[in-house]
Amino acid sequence: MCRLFAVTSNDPLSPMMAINALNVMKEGHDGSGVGLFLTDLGGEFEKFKNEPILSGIFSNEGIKALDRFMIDLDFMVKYKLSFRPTKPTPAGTPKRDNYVIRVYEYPADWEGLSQEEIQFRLMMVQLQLQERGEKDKSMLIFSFWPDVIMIKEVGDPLAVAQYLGFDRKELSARTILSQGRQNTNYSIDIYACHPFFIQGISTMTNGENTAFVPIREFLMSRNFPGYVGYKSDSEVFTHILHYMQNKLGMGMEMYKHIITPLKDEELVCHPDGKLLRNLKQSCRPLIIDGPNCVIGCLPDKSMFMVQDSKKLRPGVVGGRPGIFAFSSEMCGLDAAIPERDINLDDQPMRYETVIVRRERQEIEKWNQWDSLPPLH
Amino acid sequence: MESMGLVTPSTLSVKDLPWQIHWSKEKCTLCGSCTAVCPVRAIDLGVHRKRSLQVPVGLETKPGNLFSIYHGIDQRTDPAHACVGCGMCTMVCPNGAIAPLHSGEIDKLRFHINQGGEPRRRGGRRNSPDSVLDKIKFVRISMLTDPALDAGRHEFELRTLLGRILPPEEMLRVSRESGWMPPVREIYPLVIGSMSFGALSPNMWEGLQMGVAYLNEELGMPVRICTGEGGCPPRLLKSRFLKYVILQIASGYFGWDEIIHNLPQMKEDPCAIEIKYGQGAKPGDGGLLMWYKVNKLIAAIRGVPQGISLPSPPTHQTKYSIEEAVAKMIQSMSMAWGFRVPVYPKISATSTAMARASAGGIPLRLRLMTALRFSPRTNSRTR
Repeated sequence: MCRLFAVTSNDPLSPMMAINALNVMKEGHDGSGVGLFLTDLGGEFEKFKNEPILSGIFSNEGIKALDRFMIDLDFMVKYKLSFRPTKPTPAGTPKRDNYVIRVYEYPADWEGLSQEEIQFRLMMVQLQLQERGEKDKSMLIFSFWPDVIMIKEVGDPLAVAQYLGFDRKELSARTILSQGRQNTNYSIDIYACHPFFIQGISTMTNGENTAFVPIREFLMSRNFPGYVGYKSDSEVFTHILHYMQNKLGMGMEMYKHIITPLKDEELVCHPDGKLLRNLKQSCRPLIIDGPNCVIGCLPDKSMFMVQDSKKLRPGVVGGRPGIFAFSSEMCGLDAAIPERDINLDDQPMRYETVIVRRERQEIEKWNQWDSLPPLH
Repeated sequence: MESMGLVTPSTLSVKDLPWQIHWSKEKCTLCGSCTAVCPVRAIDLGVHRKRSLQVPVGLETKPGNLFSIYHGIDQRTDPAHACVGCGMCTMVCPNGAIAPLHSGEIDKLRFHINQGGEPRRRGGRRNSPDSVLDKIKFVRISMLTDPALDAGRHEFELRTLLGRILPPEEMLRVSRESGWMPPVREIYPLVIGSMSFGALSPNMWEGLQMGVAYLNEELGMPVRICTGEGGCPPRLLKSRFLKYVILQIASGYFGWDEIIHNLPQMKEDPCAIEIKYGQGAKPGDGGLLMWYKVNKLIAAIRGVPQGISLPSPPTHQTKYSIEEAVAKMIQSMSMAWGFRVPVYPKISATSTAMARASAGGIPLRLRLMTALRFSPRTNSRTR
């Protein structure tokens, strides 16, 4: 089962901190992939809070095609960070030409567009590039979004991190999601590495999602171009969250109610039972069938963790004001923040959602039994 | 042990075997040659008891039984010793007193030979245990990476939803506006098929109804039954068990006079209303309930004279278009029960047609259908 580690801190951290925590949990991942999601960036990228950042892997031809494509759209490169590794590749990692992180300036004619329209266009640019790269494998695109960097590669997390030099000073972030993948039942595909990303929302999951097919079918029938991909059965967790927030306009408190609704007999005594029952029926294809632990980051940089009732070894959250870490295993948390008060660690149970806001002061908890805030 | 042996409904008689031994008491000298020669030991020497009624003249002595015994041949009914009709007994008999005769009926013995683990019994349509219900299996999934040690954590949701489920966006809008939410029933994915009161028999039909009520009331399994086209006896319409029943309206409208007249007396809403738009499975002129099945009870429920054949037309003769058929019928059926009862069109599938239908009841996105036998031009109601 994949290993997950996420950290949110007031001071920018090197992604190596997360990679080291993954390395402690090495027993549980098999080198079939590592993924990083960095947001609330520090270092060089702090200056470009509002400009979209493109993250991906390009062949030499791919880079040229990218330049042509972006110039046609009138995107100008403002800052870039490229890795062109010269060292021998670690075991299992393919040789690639360019790992690219580029900050772009918006096209002039995007001026005055609504926030929603800009976000939609950014997603469409990412999808178009992804599609172009799909044909000749010249481009792999992970994200195109302001204040977000994503890196994914096949191989052992620590070996890949050393190979690509994740310890470079330009790379630091206050909010980091990372995954060491254990490949269980699908062929190794770099797009199957977590975390997944769509329009500012990113999640990663461990465990199998046995209800994958109906969820995928439901999402793909929503007529939203972003609901594609699904190289991994865990990508749907990100898209369910996106659908819930952006399409249904519901807050994070409803996520558990959609993926793991209360039982019918429980709904009878819930203060909002009537609405929740209707929601359960309407969103029935989105119910997951675990065991899954989902760790994610919302556009407002708050970090959350939920899991379903089948999860026997729940993830854990701990830390102190200023820094909190979310880990699929206790040992990862111990390695990352050893000096915390372990009595304040929290393992969310079947009804709970835990969330750490951007202020990083406390672990907030919601229970599915709580009454809902009024619908807005 | 009883001398005659125990007779149960499952006991085999010689008539269940393909060959019967005919033996003449008058000719037989009880030499025993036939029983000795029989290669399958189908026959035994036996002691028979005979009872005859003795009625003496006059009133002094009351009539009584006269018991006697005689000796003769018994044919065994055990399938392992069934007569094979070889005729050896006939050939060895010095008096021509015995012969096997073929019954001339269809072979029932193979059901008794091929038991397939089933107890021996008579009757029944078939002896093969191939029922779909027997094949349903529940296996634990996702054992690959996180074996569940605690079965209580696994929730198996077996129930399905009957009624129109609003898409989430629309559901939220309706809740916000306190609008009308289509009724939805949570049922077992098991609905006893729409077989009418007339087509089955009242006994069978009532038996199924009782079975459904039992499954619901005693076992807590929300199984439902559809009446079929033939209406519903008023006794059931007025009972609380109506909530387990889906009432069907079809092209013959049989029984609906009775249903409508009973509306004020209904204690419960029916589970749903099923609209059958056509008789797709039947060729030509639709269904026909033969005259001899239309007995007094069925005639009363359907509101027709007794003993006449009842044709059920292939399409609704009162409808001009699919718009009218679907929209008006769903609307009027919904109104009859105050929009509290799901109303849905019955749609079945074949591999030759492609259609999507979504009407007042279940949003159906079947690739295929036939029960709707309307021309494809009228696709304005389909989504």
